[in-house]
Amino acid sequence: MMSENVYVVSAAMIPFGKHRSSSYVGLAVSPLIDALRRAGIGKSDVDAVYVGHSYGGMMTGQRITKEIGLGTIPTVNVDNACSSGATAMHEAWMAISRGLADVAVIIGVEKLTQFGGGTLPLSPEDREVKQGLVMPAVYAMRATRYLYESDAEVEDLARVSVKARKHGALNPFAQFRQEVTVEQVLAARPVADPLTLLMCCPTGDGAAVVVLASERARGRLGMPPGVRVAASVLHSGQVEEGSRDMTKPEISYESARDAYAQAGVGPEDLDMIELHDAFSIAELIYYEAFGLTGKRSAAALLRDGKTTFGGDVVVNPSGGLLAKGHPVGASGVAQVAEAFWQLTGQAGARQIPDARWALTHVTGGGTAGLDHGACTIHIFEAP
Amino acid sequence: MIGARVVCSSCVSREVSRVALPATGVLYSFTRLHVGGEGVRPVGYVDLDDGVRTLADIREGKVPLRPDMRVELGVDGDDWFFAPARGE
Repeated sequence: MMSENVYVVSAAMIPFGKHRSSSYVGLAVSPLIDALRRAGIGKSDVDAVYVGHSYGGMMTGQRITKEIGLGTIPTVNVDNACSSGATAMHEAWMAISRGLADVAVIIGVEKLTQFGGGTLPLSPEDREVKQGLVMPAVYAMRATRYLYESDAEVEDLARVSVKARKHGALNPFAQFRQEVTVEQVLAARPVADPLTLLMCCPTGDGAAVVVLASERARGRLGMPPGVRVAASVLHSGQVEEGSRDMTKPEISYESARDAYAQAGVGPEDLDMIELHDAFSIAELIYYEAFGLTGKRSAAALLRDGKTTFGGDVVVNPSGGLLAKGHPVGASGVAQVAEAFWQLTGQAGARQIPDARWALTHVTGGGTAGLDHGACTIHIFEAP
Repeated sequence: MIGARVVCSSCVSREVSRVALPATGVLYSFTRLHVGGEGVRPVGYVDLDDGVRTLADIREGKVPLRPDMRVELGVDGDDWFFAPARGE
């Protein structure tokens, strides 16, 4: 069914942060122009636009593209919570891989400062949301259970944040560029025990844009070689009315399994991973979900420095959601931008030497009975 | 009422009815929530003795909360909650 090879040929983003005076359009237009220019193409070369956002309101994509006179072609607005941007990426990949489009633009954009702070607004129709559930509580319960079942300690949750900040300090696009210590993380304001504020991703705004192209279009338009999309996988959560193992999220395990099969590589081949570290516990759980280590042994991997620069696989070289920030719909696209820059040697101070394979992963949660509602995984190969 | 459905998510039957749930179960996990309201609010997932999982407010007593401890339903006016079971 999939005939065409698909390539990420350019990427652009704005630094994530609190851009209170910016609109969705204002956040996204600048990286949109940059991404087209870096791809060496004009707007008339674009066949379709896919826009991931969760809180932008109606026609967010069209409001952005009209600013540069990019119309007539299909523009698709995609909401899958934190997976919105990566789902937009998956839709664009499907269109190109099946020969329905040659060049697609993917925009991820979000403005969370519009809510004035606090936790992410979830659907008021959800029964657990009606009971007062918020995302930090979900991840905190994961953390409580994981600490209970494993040898990991609360200091390990802090070490995830310390690593994220260390990486973010090297990234000009990161919302937080100051390093922190384990002691500072543990002493920060409690949000949902055992999680402190510094174990939670920040509220912020941002936008990221990538251009995808078929092999055919890449040659025809003289675009840069780019990185090959070796796998693009989107899964939805499966409802469970009874007990569920919160430390073993089936949606991420199964998405990773399918992505590895599609790409024909395994965890041992990866040079970097950008994963969904919305809260620090998530990173430990996803080490196990992606097969980097066995069950309940994630903390040792972290403590031994296997997942930072110089280790086996650099996890969240960008600083991840914890340090780079997490403007919901933008995150999945920003992860792809990071993979693109790392695999093309453009990552500056945080460059992973000779990076060949990258995996990006975002989930989207906040629904009773599901571990997460959505999970998107991409694997990329360097040129 | 916990988890009311109009359709069964396994067999897709619309023939659903109300069932009484057990008042006892096991605390799968919990957190003390410091945001989104006044003060500190302990919440947790309780696996009831018939296998149903529910989110619930948890009342803390003298016994520290821990996963897998036995809990039982309590009612306080219109509020319901789970608290460590007697004997814990």
